[in-house]
Amino acid sequence: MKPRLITLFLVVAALGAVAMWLRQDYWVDHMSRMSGQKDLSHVTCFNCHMVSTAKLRWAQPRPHHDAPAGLAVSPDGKIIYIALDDRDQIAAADAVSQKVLRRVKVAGRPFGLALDAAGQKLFVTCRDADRLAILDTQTLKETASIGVGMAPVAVAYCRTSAGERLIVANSMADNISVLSVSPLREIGRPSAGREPFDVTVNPDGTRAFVVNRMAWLASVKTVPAAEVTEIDPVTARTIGRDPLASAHLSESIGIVPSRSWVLNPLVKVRNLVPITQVANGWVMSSGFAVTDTRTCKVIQLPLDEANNYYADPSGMAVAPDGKRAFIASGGSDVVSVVDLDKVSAWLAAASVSTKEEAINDMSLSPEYVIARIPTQRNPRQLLISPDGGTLYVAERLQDSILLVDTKTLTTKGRIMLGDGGLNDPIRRGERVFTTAAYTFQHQFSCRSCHPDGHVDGLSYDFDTSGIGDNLLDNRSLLGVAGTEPFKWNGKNPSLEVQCGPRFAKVLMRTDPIPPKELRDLTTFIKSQPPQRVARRHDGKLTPAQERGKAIFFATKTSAGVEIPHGKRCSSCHRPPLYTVRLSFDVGTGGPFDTPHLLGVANTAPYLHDGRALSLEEIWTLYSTNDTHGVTSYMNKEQLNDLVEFLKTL
Amino acid sequence: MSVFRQLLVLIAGAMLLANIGCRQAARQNGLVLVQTPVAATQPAADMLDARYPNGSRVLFMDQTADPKTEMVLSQGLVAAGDPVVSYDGCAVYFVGKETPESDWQIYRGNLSGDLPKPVTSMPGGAMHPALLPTGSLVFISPVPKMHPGQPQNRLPAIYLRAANGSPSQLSFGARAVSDLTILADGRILFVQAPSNEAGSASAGPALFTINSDGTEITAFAGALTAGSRIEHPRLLADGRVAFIHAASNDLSTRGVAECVSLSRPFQSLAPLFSGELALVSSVEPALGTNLLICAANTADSSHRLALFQVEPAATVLAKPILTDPQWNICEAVEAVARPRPMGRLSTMDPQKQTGKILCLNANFSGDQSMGGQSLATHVRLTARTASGTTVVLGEAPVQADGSFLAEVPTDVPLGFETLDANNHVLHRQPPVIWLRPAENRSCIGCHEPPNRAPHNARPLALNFPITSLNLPAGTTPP
Repeated sequence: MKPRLITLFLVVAALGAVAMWLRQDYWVDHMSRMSGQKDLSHVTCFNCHMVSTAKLRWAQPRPHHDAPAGLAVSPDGKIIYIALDDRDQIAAADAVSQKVLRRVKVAGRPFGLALDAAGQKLFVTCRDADRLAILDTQTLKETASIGVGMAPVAVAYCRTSAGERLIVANSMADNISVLSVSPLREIGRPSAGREPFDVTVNPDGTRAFVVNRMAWLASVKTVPAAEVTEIDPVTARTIGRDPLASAHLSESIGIVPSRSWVLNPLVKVRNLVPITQVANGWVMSSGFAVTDTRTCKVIQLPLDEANNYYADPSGMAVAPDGKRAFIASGGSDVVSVVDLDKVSAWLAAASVSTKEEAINDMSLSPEYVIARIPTQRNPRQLLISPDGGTLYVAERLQDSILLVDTKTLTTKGRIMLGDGGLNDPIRRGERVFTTAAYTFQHQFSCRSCHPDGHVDGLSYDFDTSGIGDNLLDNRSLLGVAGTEPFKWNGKNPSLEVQCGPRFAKVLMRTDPIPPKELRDLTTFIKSQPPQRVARRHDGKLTPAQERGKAIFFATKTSAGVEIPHGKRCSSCHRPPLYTVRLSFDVGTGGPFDTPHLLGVANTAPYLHDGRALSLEEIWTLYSTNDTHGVTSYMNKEQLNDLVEFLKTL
Repeated sequence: MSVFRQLLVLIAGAMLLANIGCRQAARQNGLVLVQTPVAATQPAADMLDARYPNGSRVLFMDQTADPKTEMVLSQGLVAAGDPVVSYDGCAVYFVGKETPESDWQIYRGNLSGDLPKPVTSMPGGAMHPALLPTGSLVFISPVPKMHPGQPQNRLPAIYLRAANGSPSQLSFGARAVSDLTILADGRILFVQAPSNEAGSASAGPALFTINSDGTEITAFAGALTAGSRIEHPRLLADGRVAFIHAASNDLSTRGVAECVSLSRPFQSLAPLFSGELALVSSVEPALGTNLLICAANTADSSHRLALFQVEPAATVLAKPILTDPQWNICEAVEAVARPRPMGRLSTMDPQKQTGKILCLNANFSGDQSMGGQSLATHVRLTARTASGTTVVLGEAPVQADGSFLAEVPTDVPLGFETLDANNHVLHRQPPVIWLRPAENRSCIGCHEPPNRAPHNARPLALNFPITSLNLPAGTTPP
């Protein structure tokens, strides 16, 4: 049977080849007409046909690991609760024996944790289920659950004059759920900045502070700024927005009650300056913000040193006595210890202009950073025991929790959750992705611009073609498997080329990533699925989305006029990847690679240089004369429908 | 072929491979020492003659052997010194001269007892070898003469010995450079002599860095006291850069060991030993975190140089680990394998003859003398020629935010003069920096405070066509 099948296949293939050869002109014309390309040297049948997502790396099963995410500690300091989001589990560990006592299943990728005052209820944000679960700490059984905004990543508990409250950061909904605990219900959902990522509340429960990971959407040539959003936990109203100028990627926030300060780590980004060098923090540097909650004045201070950097500041914890803050640098495997008395003394002595310039002074941090504690791979979340004696460090890509004596700043032990997963090339690749070891002076990692593989929402000016004429929007790495070529000009045929010597030369300013690590890195990137999008729970499209879908696949305008093939949405953004992987000129200054549209709703800004701040702006501002598809026939409602459909991809 | 013969071939191959490899790599306690005769008196014609008089030698000492064995690596040379060990611990590069009259060149010795082989043949000599992460040799040439009256056609500059053995110049400043070492991030750290020119902010010698292709010349630390000199900078394991700081330019005077911290090199100058101002000849990192120090032995009435080993936190030198009544031990390096620094891909394009320089704000300066002046409206760029004269390349407009952008010739020392609307010079920076072919270079201001990151703002100069400036016709670059 098998030889006959092979013979049949060969005969069909031979016949097909003969047919193609006999009708060369037809096929050339077909490929030219359908691809819109004059130069067909890069065009194959597979740009449009036989494309399937089912065999892509991100659609395949992958190993799961015991990567610690959020942490919480019981009021007596004896039990540590650990969210294992990749396992859909919560673990409880004994702080003294440093052993895991129990694990329970919590569906929906549990990520952020908080305890009530008595330590009886454990609140868990489930990032992929858009819900908050409540666990009884005695039994670790789920006792209640409530829907919140999309992708909740952090929760804080507080007592207020109106009762117990929970503040939940909904990272993909850009809002905050304010919940009452009894009864468990949502009081309000005020808007936050972009991608709220951590929450803290002052001791009297009158103000909650939410730090946002991404900068507000703004013109590519203006200074980006993330914000600290202030919420009234009683009324669920926004009461303040403190901008963090030219700073973003804050993933943690802590309060220093004794000083009326709120602290958050940050990445100080310098994306508006051409990347002619990386030395002296020319591209980005790490720091932290000190917000005076009485005056709302924000001072940014550097965490790096003049010739050595501490990339990707992530988790932060403040000692109960307010004397020290600890900041985990996930890219450098270090926890920096900040003496807050020294910070206070420096702030008191510095002039206004010195304080404003402080973040740019790369030799300032020895004034207040008193120690750097080495950790294993990728320290992220931090937690301090109620007595202030122990610092817990979630070593995310080591599958462990490091215990540090906060007095001696020495290691006390480690809670082992897993084996580190080094047999898994995806995990090894994630280690490469998150380390700053491959950049000059360890300044940044892949994650510094692609948090969780996604985008930082900024455009950068690379100097490869000169100085100042090459602003390029950062593209998401989620769902890029199978969408080669890469780079906005479409000149990199593979991720290995994209992430290899080219990046070493123009960005990392070091030797290229070694071949084995590069293979692991690209394996990790290819394993990243497109970002989750908001859809109806039954998976069906809404009427508006259905209308938008019809517009997306339309071959005629509303008036019945034929839309030329090359001007239809689906010609260039062809399913299932919603790209034919070719370059087109859409009137923005030259042919550019066609991005895939999977998860496009959350990748603003848009177009090659990030000039369009929303999907609407692509057509309302930057597609005059139907340069980006025939869209001028659409009225406002039709454009809205189209955008609603795009948001479902 | 019989099994026996196959086996013989395999064994022979294995032996050959073993022989090709580094036979000395297993030695863990080997030291490479520089010994200079105690009674040397001949006049010094150049800088290295003063440091390594005739009879000076480089030798390998195996401390694990019983009795200790010594092997002279500079056999056949009348003088030698300044050793640097390859990253695999197998080879030693050092300066040497074959006859009293010949130029100093760099030699490669190995730990097998072979005669050293010259690896440079630079007119005027070569000195201060260092090894890039790739293993390529960088050095200084020519060797400065001792007396101003002696002819010196070229300023000492940094050279790279290319794979084919030919030298290519990496530094192009208008000041003499000396004393190389390689930092862990792959940059070349070197000493730059002070400028005597008006407008120079450099009072004394200073430490600078360049990348391994000569790009991005940047001040690293200093400048130190006028009239003093810096020698032998070395990166220590604890993140300090130690060097010898002598109060006088007179090469016969020794200096004390000082250091700066990588974390804030401009604000951290301090003695290496707080409790003792020993006269030190060299400081080298040793296995672990210890230091190898060659210094005057105060316990010896003649104050001969001896070898000390101390912990990094030591405040005094204590007792030497090696002395010799016939010799000064003026340098000591461990002959062990060590980690390579971080490498770097060059951004240079040798086919091009220009580079671009972007200044973010020509009115921003850490130089207090600029305070209160009017704002610059344009900037004049100058270059130093082969004849030592300064020529004007032209002027570029300074935008309202202080930014300017210019395309300039490469591999020539470039100077800057900011000018106000009345063409009055507000600030002058003599030719110190250079650009390599196709280099894109930026600065924050004019003599801006060191280790300063830029503001995140789009420079207005990017909105205007770049100003192209060239050397005047007939000008010969240096």
